[in-house]
Formats: sequence, C-alpha cells, structure tokens
Amino acid sequence: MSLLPACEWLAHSWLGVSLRQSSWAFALIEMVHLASLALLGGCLLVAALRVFGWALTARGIAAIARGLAPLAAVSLLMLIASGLLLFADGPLRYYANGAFRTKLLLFAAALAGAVVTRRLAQLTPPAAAASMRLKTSAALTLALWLGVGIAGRVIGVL
Amino acid sequence: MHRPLSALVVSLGLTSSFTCAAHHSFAAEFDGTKPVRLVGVITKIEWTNPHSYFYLDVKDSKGVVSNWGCEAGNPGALSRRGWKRGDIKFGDTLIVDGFLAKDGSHLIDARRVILPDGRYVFGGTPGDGGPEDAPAAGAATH
Amino acid sequence: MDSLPLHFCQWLAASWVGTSIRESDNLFSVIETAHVLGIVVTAGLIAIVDLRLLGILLSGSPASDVIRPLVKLTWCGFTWMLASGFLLFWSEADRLYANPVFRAKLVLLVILGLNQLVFHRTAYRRIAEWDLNPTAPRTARLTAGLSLVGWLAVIALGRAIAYL
Repeated sequence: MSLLPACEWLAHSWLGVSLRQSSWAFALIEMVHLASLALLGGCLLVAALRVFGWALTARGIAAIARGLAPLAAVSLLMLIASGLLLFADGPLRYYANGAFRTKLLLFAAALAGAVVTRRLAQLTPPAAAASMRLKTSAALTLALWLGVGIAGRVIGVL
Repeated sequence: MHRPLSALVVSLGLTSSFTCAAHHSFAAEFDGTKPVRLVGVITKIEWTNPHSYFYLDVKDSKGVVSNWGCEAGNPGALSRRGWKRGDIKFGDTLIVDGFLAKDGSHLIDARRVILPDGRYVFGGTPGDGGPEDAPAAGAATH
Repeated sequence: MDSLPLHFCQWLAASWVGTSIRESDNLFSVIETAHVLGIVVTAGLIAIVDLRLLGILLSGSPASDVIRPLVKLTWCGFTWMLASGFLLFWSEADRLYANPVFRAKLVLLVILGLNQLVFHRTAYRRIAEWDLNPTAPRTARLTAGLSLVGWLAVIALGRAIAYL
C-alpha cells in the first residue's frame, strides 16, 4: 500500500498549505522539535548513566527510571507532535527523501529499544547493579537515538 | 501525583518562551506565488555553505541591465545533483527559474537552473519548505 | 570606518581554514551537525539539573547526586560546543560579526556563564544543608529557572541565525 496519496492529500490540505505559507511557523516548530529532542536526550543520557552506575547512584535503577519517566514522556510527545507538523509542511519532499525514511526506521527501533530498556530497568531490584542485558539494551538504544539525530540533520543536507 | 503535571506545565511554558524567528528559509524570504525566469550573464559566483549564490546581469525588455542574485543550496547538495563547482564560470549565460524575494530586492530562490551545456538542475536548498517543483515554464520572463 | 574586530573577522573568513570550511562539500555540514547534536546533549543535561533544583524532577535523589556527575559532563559538552561553534564562526566570521541574532546568542551565553558562577558561589557552597530537600533554596531556584529558559533560548537563537 503506497502512502503517496496520503502525502499528496496532506500537502494540499489546509494544514499543509498554511504551514508552507507562514513566514515563521516552520522555524518555530523546528525549534520546538530541537528543544524536545534536548529534553528527551537529557532523560535518556541520565538513565543510561545510572544504568552504568556513573550518576545518581544513591537510588536504585528502577527508581531513577520512574523519576525520569514524566519528562521523557512529555518531551517524546512534543517531539512527535512537532515532527508531524514539520512533515505536513512538505509531505511529498520528505516522502522522497532517503534520509527521512532512514530516520523514521531508526526512530521506531529507538522507541522499541527505550521500551525494552525501561522494562529491564523496572525489573532491577533496588540495590542491584544493572544486568548485562540491561547495559546492552541501554547502550544500543542510546546509539539508535544518536542515529535518529544524525539522520535528522542529513535530511536538511541531502 | 503532581510531578507529571508540573513537568507538563514547565515544558509547555518553555515552548512559549522561544524567540519567534523572523525568517523561515523559504516562505519568509521568498514568495511562492511570484515565479520569475531570469536570463543573464554570470558576474559573481559564491560556492559556499550554508547557501550558494550566483549573480547575473539581466537585460530587461527595455535593454536596461540590472544585477540579480540567485540563492541555491549548499555545495554538497548541488554536487550530489550533478552540479559541480567548475560547471559555471564568469561570462556564462544561465537561465534560472525561481521565486522572487519578498522584500522586493533583486534576489530569487533558484529552483531550476539551465546550465550552459543545456542540463537542468534543481537549485533549491534541501528541507527549506519551498515548493516541490520549479515554477511553470511559461512564467513571466523578467 | 571599519573597526579592528571587523577586520579580524574578515581576515578569519578569508583565511585558508575559513575558506576551506565555507566552500566544502561536506565538512561544514559535519561540523554543523556536531554542533547541533552537541547543544541537544548539553542543554538536555543542564535542563535535568535545573529541574532537580526546582523540585520538579528526581526530587527523591540527593541534589549532589544529580549535580556533581552531570555538571562534569556538561563541561565536556560545553567544550565540544565551543570548538565546533568556533569552526563554524571561522568560516563565516565577517557575516556573523554583523548578525544581531548571533550577537544576542553570545551575550546570552555570557549571561548564562555568570548565572552558573552565581549558583556555585552561593547556594552550592551550602549544599550539605539542602542536599536532601526536594527543592533547593530560593537563589538556587532562581538561577535554575534562568538557566532552563536561557539554554532553550540559546537553541532557538542558534536556529534563528541562519534566517537573518
């Protein structure tokens, strides 16, 4: 099933047209996208630091994961919302852009990684160190998010 | 549990404190409803990041010559489309289809460039939110 | 009359390094990507510290447990930002010199640096007193709030440079 008709519809919709014509909307949404990425990135990095025992060691891994969850969730929502609006500004162009498709694939993988890591973190007993599985999952997830960030930059350069 | 709510409030508050940028790459600087075709002789070439520029001496219908700037993508993006640094030189004649700058200055966003050897190249900056296609071939010639 | 700083910026931009970066096929984009991803990481870590001080996040952890390791990392991040930022500046120094958004960004960075100094010289000195409190003392909350808003504004201004 091709998504091309949906992209064409979006491009000509009220939303797509208004975004493309606005002087400031695109730049503003881009800034929100970057800021959300910063907040989410902070959460992921701090969670990974705790998993490896390099920061926030006074409390257990599960507790730290729980503590970071609200900000991670909010920033992820803002990231997706702003991302959808950016996409609506030029659906056909992004549809054809290889870097964008790669970014979406990496994003899906990074999200799955985050869910798995979170689950493993929650299962860690309070005073315990992270299991090998948890450390691997955390490191891989972080690497995937870095990939998402780089792919996002490549979109604008290709 | 007040913490998730305050996190939400803080995040929303922060987003509204951003500076509204005066420009967006395409829509703020250029007018997508004002297509233009320029035919002119190259007087200056700036093959640079983040944008490339080349300047043309264009003769209008009355024979008056004026200098126009054309904004294009970065060198990497252009060379990936087959348009390399040495492909254009001073004195070459170029045909450029693009959109007029909103502030009325002699500047267009070069959407399509017809090189001296007859090749067509897309000149736009990637990811700038500008029109997918170049203006129609029958657009007003300046 | 052209000033000395402007002349210096013009010299920088015209130099071999500046010109090579400015006219490069990919190098500029690589440095720019490093700069943007650097600020994402640095601002993100700073935001987490600020949110702890404000009592919004991780208030169950001692403040020092959050601040000490993360501040060390943010110094690395800041060095990364300065290095990549300077290279970008080098390639366009003459244009950026006159750019009001760029100047505003530099001024803001200085303000944020001073803000950080104030925090370290005041509330942070007495951290043993409030380490286990969910929120930090008032001066710390003020500097944290300014830092939070300020760093996100740095991101916004950085993006806006290209558009002016």
